[in-house]
Amino acid sequence: MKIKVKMLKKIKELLEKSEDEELLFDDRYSDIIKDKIKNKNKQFSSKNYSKKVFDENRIVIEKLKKFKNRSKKLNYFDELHITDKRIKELIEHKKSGGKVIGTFCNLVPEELIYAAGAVPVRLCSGCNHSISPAEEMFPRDSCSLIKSSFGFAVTDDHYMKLCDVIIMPATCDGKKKLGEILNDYKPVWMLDLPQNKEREISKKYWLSEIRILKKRIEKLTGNKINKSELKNAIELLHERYDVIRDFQEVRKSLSPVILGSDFFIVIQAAFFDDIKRWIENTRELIDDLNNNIENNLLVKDKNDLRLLLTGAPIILPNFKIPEMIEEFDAFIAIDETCAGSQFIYDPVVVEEWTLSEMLSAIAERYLMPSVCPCFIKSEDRIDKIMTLIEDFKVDAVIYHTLRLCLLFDVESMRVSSVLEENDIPFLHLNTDYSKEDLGQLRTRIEAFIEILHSKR
Amino acid sequence: MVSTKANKHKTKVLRSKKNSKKVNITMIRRIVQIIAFILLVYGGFFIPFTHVDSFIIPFIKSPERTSVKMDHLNPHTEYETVFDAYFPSRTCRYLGSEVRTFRACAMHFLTEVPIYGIPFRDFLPHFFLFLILAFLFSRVLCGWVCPLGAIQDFFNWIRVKIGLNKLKLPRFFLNAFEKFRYFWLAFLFIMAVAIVIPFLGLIPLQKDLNILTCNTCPGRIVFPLLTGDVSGWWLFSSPLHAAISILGLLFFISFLLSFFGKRFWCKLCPTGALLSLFNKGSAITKQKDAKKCTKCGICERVCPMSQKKVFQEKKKKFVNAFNCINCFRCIDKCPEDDCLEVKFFKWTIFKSKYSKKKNKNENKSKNVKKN
Repeated sequence: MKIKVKMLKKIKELLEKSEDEELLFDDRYSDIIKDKIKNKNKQFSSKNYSKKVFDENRIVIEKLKKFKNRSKKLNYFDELHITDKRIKELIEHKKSGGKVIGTFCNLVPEELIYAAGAVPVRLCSGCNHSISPAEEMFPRDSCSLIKSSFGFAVTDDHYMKLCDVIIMPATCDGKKKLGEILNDYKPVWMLDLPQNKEREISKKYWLSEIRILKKRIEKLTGNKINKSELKNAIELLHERYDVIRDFQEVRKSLSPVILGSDFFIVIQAAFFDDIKRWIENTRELIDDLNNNIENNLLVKDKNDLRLLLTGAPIILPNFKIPEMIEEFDAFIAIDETCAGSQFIYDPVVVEEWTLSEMLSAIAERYLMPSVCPCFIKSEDRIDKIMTLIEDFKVDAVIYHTLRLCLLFDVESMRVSSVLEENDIPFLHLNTDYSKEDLGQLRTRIEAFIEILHSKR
Repeated sequence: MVSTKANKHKTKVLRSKKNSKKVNITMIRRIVQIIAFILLVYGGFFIPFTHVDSFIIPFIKSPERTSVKMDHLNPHTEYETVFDAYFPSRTCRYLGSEVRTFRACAMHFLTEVPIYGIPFRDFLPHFFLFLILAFLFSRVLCGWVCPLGAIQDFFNWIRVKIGLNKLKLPRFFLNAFEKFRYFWLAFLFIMAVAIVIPFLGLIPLQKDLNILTCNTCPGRIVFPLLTGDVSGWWLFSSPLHAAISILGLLFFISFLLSFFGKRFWCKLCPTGALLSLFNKGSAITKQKDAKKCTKCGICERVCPMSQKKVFQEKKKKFVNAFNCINCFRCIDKCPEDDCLEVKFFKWTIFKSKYSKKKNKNENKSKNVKKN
């Protein structure tokens, strides 16, 4: 009898193992490269880069605290960025046998990670200090977001240190190659993203990619992702979408009670924070902001310009542009960036709660409504920007691109021509994380805002 | 402190009010379906009416039944206790005559005109009634009123409750069905006329080929089960009849298949095909604000007829599809505010709105606080 049961199990395993899961070839040179890298990395191991991030964050947040009527509920989110409270929690979580999974971009299905009992941490970084160690290994002519994120792998610090595995969707060229190089430091699972959303095949392909990811997560954590667990995870994340939609309703009101940079701080706390605690605190913040609207406690003047920020992601502590904008008589009313309001926006809507239906719903949610410029067509993004302009009563658009990021730069042409047609002023800023061009940027932004004010 | 607490309560109340504004279209539809089902199938129990002359124009006499020759299938059929009107959705003649509300479905009426030789003045009011209803509601009648549709939805509901996966039909079959139902519709009308024309030589077969529509409809098997009048079931008296019944059985199987995939029979139904001709010009329109669409594909996944029109349309405002049964599930599930809307002439009836998981979770968070 026992033999029979074993045989049945083996047959089941064989049936479950699909062909697309297997890799065709093995790595040949990775061992040699890993040895070389170990020798090179010795020089960085002593410096504490995590502290430098917190210091940078502190400088940014202290500037923001000077604004009057800034909601006090934001202190919770400030603290998360300044102290290593969450890192300690995650270390304890790991000690008790839990897993931490690092992610990049907003295309990784977090539902699966939560369903398996692991904790996702988004690793996209805005730190300027970690660029110099990264440049030892990575070409200098690449976008600062990638270099900065890679720096933490080189120095083996911050949240990168805690990750058991990193999930990386192959979006732009930089991220693709970053995944390959990161693989020598940490195990990396690439998610192959179809380039064309318009085809039916790419949906199927992406779904199979998600299925493989599910199996890999199950193997790593040792927990099977069941129907009920996945349903709970979907409902938990749906709560987060609800909160953010409420938040956007607050931002839609014509009395500005929250700065754009403060919104970034809140949403970027969700990169690594405990999700239930984050939801609770954000709810409290929203109630507080609603009170502020009623009592007319405004952060900015009602006549200030309402701007839309779009383009490359702006991640703490790289707050050059929002800071500068909000110094003048303008503020960011809404943003369209993947580390901002696009990170948590589209909900997973499930029709029938079976496992395969849930998986396909999750896969579709992460692929179809994405407005990442790595896809072939940019029209969805233009649609998105136009609706946001209408909904949030935006006066002008600021298009931010990171130097050497080709995708956003190319799309700016198409976006600007549509905006011109609709008589919406448009400013294109091309920078990176360094602080060399602060003066030049300031004059450009100041002139732009003054011209708009004089036109009114 | 006290004031802030009071404010908190206020905002919470406001939020809950906002939540309650969202109308769950599917809930309304289910209620309408159940009411329509009871009315159309068991209406005779509740509304004790004796013979009512023509529905819309009461002073016109109903067609005299002396010319009826071939109605042998259902000998109990008496025309005294029903509304003398034909409804363009399934109000089957195989239902017990003392139970049903209307005489029969419009498809039956349109195909019986030549064989019974209904005079023109009696034909016109019924035909106008059909046209008006079709223009006003088109296939809303399929999604909201048709009892066969309601039964199929019930089958599907059972499957969802059990937790079985649905059967996904390949595009090829869907396209084939779409063409087939028009061929079938045309064939039914041609046959209805052909049996009366003398030189085609079909007159001796009149008895067998009469009302082909009804004899192949799954309603012939389903409805007698509901009212217990099974006299229409047995149809094997001649080889031609047997062939027709086998075809009917095939359709009946497709009806049962709706347990595995939503609304399977509706993809083949000739009445639906007839009504969907009115779908694009009807008074009920589905409109889409293409700018607000995020292309998330929820509307396509949720659609019981697996239609792509709403999802794909990016330029035009009107998204009425030929095959749409107007269940408005897409509008119910669309997460973008005001992206999709339903209009009846100029008035908006439904609008899409982001639906929240609300009350449950708020309670949960309260519990967490207490702990």
